Amino acid sequence: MLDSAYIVGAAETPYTRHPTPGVSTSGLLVQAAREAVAAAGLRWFDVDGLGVSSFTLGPDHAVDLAWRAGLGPLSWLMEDTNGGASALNMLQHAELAIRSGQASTIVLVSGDRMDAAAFRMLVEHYNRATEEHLAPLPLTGPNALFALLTQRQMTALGLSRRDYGHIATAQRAWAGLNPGAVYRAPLSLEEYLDAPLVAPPLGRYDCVPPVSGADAIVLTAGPAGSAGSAGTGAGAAGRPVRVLAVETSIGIDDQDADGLTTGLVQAAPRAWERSGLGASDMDVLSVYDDYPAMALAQLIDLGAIAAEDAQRDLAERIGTRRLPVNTAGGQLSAGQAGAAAGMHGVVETYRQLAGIAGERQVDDARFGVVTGYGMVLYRYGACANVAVLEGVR
Amino acid sequence: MSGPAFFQRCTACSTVFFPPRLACRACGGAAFEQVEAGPGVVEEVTELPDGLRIASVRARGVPVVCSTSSESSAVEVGSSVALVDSPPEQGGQPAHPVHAVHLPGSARVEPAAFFTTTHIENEGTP
Ligand SMILES: [Zn+2]
Repeated sequence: MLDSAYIVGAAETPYTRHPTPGVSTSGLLVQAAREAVAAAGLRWFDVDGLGVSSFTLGPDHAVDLAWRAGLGPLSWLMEDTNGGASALNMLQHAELAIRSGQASTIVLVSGDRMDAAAFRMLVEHYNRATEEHLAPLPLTGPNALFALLTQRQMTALGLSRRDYGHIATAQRAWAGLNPGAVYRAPLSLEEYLDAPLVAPPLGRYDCVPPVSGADAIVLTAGPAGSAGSAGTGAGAAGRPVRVLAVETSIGIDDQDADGLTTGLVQAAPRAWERSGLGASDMDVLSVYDDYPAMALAQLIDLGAIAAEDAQRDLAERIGTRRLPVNTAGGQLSAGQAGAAAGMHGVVETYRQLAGIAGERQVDDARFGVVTGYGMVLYRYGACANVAVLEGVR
Repeated sequence: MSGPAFFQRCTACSTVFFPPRLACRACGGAAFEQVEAGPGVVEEVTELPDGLRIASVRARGVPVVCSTSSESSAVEVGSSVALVDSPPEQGGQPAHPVHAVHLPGSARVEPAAFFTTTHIENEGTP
């Protein structure tokens, strides 16, 4: 068993609010996957493992995508359905596949062509509980559920709308440094507070813009790896990034609690133990920001923010961007490309640790943490996972 | 036809569930009976741009996501409500939307621990 697997390349297609005519989900996925392989300095035919996550790939599955993309023979194949937790779920499996020698070059790719019809289909038929108990209310989409959850968090932590505004405005500032983000214009706290309420206390800037797009990463067995032997493009990919730990927790409660505690309370301590690091060692953080309340809940569960200091830290560490959280703008400003939403943070953290994050590069970023969260069974997400990564010097 | 909302109760350990499950998380049993949800208390309420009000109501310790009347200001945080199941008249895919209805004359639960939507809206100005 090898000690580590490494992320050696990543790519994100442009995110678009409305899908480009003629663009399909499988087209976006293959575009991101091929760009990631090229960025790693590898050849498409080097790929012997493929992991896919998409809400809209059907009727195709991972094997169809592999076939149509000209891949094969593959020794490792997976398809993950866990939405915002799918990227790290795949990474958890892929890391072990690389270390055990089941595959030598794995591409993990997530994405969706998300037009209005696809989004409506997704939210109305998310699962059986949604079909039978939420969609007929009629409730279309999770905004109301997370409005109720945010009210609970405001009560529990003594927060106001203004406090959450620091998350949205800081991520918008980061997005201004990311040419790939769909919303890049600066957002002031006043604009945040004055925006139309979508579901009190949630306003427009608490909700993610659905976009079309795809994200991909490439894993190999060595830091120099095949990228070095291929001899091209390795420099463009930056430093290799070592996977130090990936941990998951699914279903910590029965959807009957307040939803303010995620599975990270179980997964994060395991990840810190395995990596020998802690939240305070992290130079960059990426948390799954489907709503600001969930970004905050995950920062608390990671140990990056203390619950009792939440109000102060939102203003003094998040709002000021002293704590680099969601440095590509996150879903709130870069956009939520369906199942790519979980991979977006992996790609960004890789880029930061590889030293190729452009204008938004965090100085001397060596350690990073990424979280995934998702799959609203009835009232809130049931899946959470976390990865700790290191840029190899 | 509208009637009372029903929960599912494990016949072995009496744990109550909504939505229905296939096995009991508490004891592992898989035999259930139906019980009326009974009255509940509104924990939070929000309102969507189309005027639909959505509430979280806890009854028998179980949280239920319900719609509630846009006219009835009586249904707010702390209100006691009845839970009504309104399956569609037409057949097809099973649907059991739960609607929260104000219980006239019921005592209001002290909402000190809750956050009201009115308060939130007032937070909207800097
Ligand atoms: Zn039981």
